Amino acid sequence: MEGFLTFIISIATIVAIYSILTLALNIRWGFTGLLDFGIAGFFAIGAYTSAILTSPPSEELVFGVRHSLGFGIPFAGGVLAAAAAAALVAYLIGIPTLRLRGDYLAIMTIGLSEIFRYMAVNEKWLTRGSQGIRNLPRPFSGYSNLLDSLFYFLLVVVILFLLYLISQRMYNSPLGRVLKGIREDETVTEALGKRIFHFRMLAFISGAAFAGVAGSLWAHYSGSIMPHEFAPDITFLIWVSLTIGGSGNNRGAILGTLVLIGLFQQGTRFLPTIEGYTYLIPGLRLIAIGFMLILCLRFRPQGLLPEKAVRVEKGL
Amino acid sequence: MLALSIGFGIITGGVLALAALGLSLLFRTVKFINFAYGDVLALGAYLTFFFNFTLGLPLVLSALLGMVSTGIVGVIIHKAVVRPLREGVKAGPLTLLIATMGTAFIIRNAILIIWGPEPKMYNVATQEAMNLGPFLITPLQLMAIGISVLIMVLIYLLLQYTTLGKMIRATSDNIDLARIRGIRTEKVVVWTWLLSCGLAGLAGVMLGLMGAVDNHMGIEMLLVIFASVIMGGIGNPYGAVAGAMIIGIAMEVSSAFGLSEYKSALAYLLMGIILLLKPKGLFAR
Amino acid sequence: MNQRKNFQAWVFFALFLGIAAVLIPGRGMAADPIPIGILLPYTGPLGWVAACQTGADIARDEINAAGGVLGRQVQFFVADDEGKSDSAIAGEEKLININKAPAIIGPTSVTFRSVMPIAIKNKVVQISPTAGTTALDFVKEKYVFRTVSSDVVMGTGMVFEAAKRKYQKAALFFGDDESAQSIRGVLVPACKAAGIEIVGDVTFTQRQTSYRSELLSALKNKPQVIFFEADPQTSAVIFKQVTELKMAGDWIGTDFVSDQFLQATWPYSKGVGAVQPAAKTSPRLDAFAKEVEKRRGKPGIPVFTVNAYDAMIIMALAMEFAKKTDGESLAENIRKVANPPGTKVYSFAEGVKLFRQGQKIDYEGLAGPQNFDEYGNVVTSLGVFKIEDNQRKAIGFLDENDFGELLGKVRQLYATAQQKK
Repeated sequence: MEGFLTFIISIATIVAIYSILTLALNIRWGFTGLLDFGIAGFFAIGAYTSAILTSPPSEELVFGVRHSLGFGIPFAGGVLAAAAAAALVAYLIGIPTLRLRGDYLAIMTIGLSEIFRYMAVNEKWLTRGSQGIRNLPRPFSGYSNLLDSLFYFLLVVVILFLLYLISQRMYNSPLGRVLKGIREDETVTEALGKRIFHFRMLAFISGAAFAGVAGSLWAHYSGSIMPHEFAPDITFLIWVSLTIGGSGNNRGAILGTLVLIGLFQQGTRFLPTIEGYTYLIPGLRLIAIGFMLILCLRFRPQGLLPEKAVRVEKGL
Repeated sequence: MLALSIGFGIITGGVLALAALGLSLLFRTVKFINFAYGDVLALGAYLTFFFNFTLGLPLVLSALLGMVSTGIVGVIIHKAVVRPLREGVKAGPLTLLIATMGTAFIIRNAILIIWGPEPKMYNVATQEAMNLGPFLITPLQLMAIGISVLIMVLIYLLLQYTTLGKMIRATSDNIDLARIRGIRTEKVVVWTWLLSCGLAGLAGVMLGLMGAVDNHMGIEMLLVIFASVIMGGIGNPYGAVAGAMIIGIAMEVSSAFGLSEYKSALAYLLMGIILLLKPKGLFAR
Repeated sequence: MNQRKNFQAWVFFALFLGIAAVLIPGRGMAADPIPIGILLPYTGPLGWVAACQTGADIARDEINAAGGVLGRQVQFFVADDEGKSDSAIAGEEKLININKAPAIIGPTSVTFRSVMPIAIKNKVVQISPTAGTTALDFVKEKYVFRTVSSDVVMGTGMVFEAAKRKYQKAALFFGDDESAQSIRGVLVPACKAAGIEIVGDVTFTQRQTSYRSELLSALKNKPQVIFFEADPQTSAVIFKQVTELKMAGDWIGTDFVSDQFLQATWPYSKGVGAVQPAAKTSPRLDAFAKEVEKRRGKPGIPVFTVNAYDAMIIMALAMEFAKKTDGESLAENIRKVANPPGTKVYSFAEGVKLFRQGQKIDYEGLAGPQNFDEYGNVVTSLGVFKIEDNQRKAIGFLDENDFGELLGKVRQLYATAQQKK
């Protein structure tokens, strides 16, 4: 029983961490209409920042290149630093790119996240290259396996809840209304005197910070990170999660992640492999996800939990 | 060595140009970016493999069949995904982009299930390269470049002088106006998908001939094709060709001189720079 | 509103199904067998590695035919790590928590360190028959073992062979992934120790369509030997273009020169060589080869098959010796049955017989003596191969007697930097 619970908790932890990523995408796309296909890049930045800062100091020869970073700062510092680093990079990148129109931004963001990934692979002095960074600490350890996993899971859930509240606050605030205005019709919003670029940047940075936190939590959950884990596949899964769950709606984001990642991806992991057709199940799974996306866009574009219609306020 | 790598760049660029041309043509007409384009390219390579290796047909015939089948797949995407979304929920370009991303995954994994992950090669022996001036090139590659050029000329002629071409141009410029003038825009769009994906398929076959037919070739090429198209100016087919050559040469030359780890990243970086400095591309119309 | 309720109902129903699907495999377990986990990349770019499972299967059947361990049959539970960390972690958790395996065979270098902490935490033995990464060379953990030697050994072997062929100029041509970079990292000090000059060094991204420029860069100073590693798909393109560009040079690859490599690259890989873990020819190996061929339906022993075989046999012997099947006892007794001192044995049945007589044994594996050092590492023998007639032909063998001296030098160069903390 204990084993079974530990297993369920490990899946739940993955779902919770990915939910934070979906919340991040929701701020960028759901609220503001920024077509962002590069969220995996900020996830990676968060993971690496946290990993580099929280690893114990050491000097090693990695594939012939000297690597000597690692500052041993505590876990909490790692998470905060991850958010800050991701936000900073978002700011720097945002300055030139957020003026691009929608579809160009999409391509640009994928390109960027891939460039980050190549840097992670090749800049061995910083990231230890393809070998990745290991022995990442977890804040609770030393208890039983079940309790450790449970504590970490609860920690992630608490952070998820906090970020959810922050995001909800954003959504219901005047800031949120402007973002929605930008999403719906930029021209009108601009005519009302709002500086579009400024607000897009805010959304971009906030999304980055959330993604950075998710990355940090992921790194410490996983214990070690390697560049090839941060491929655009993650971005695709998060997109489908958000679309299915209900873009624009935070609860929808979380539900979508639960359905897609929890049920679909992890749950179908344990279907038996058919002899000689090892690609059948993983391939079908991804095909099904593709279909789900298209069908959802066609028949239920608002997702499982639609965004609540905004009530028109008098005098706005 | 510089000359040699430029030569390689021309070879890569020549094939890339075909693909970029196709994507650019499509965008001009349907006004959204088809994210499934790379995997359509890969599908073209695989279908040709099926005709050539599994059915044993000669290469040229297989390539033609492959091209046509890929074009048909393009039409299917239009009728099964794009049209229902446009008509059903008035989907805009961003939504269609996302939908084609889903389509890309479907195609890629269908390929994986049907053909497996091992790379495939056509029933064609590899020839040795000969020295042509300062370049090293095989007869097949020379022919590939020749075919690319020929096709580009044919497309130009098609667009300029044939009725279909004029209808395509009219629809691209202003679809509502075209409709009013009696052009059956739906037919035009179908033909454009056919042409565009056919070109993708041909590019896929050429890539397969020069390297291998591999499951990931779609996604590998997609961003580089985007980079070419954007560099040339989206919606400008000939700009896309020029963009492809520039990117192809840049990638090969940089690899020859030590930057091989960042080969693809370079293409994305160039694309980024163009997007920022001259968003309409180098050859804006 | 009704629509919304419907959706929610479906979601909960699906959740329920999901949980049920996960529970059921757990219920299906019979009470008696000893569960052993296998975690390998059945899907993903390293799919060819998973063929080594045949070795473990042969071991299991041999053990069960001899009466099993402590009278109980060994049963395998398999999980696919897809070559990715999150899948590996999920698979590991399943094998440990649902299938209750006290030991897991696998995974590969790519995901080993992601699952290692989970195994250690749960007191489960993690024994990899494939992970050669040098990152594990100095990991001193009670529960971590490898039945394949570190890349330090394979890299040294490659250089040794090159030196044997009297080459003095070499080029390095490696993918940017961990496995390839691990070998490359060894080759640099190894070439230095053997007095071979490195005149070309290229790292590339896999799965591209053209490597012509990279080849140009690596071979421009006319190296006599080119050390390389790339996955089968990339290799197909590379060797096609090597042929096309008429590039001269002797290519020596790693354990990636597998049957899948051959299938992808023939006929362009004619003449390509490799140095990789392989068992020395012997009647025992011949019998094993026949069994492998029978099960797979084609000739040849995939890389790592013998290492997987050894891993399972050693674990079975350790459990039998300890008279217990939990992970901790297993970890404590592996060295007792695999390392000297003891009477040398070559099979499970032999070992059990000697246990009954109260004797200590030293299992000699197919892949090598399988004596684990303090870090859980072994030095296995290497085979020298050449691709000819659409086959990987073994043209020689190297063991510690051959490259031991060079290995010592390489280790010194490598370890000095590695252990500086």
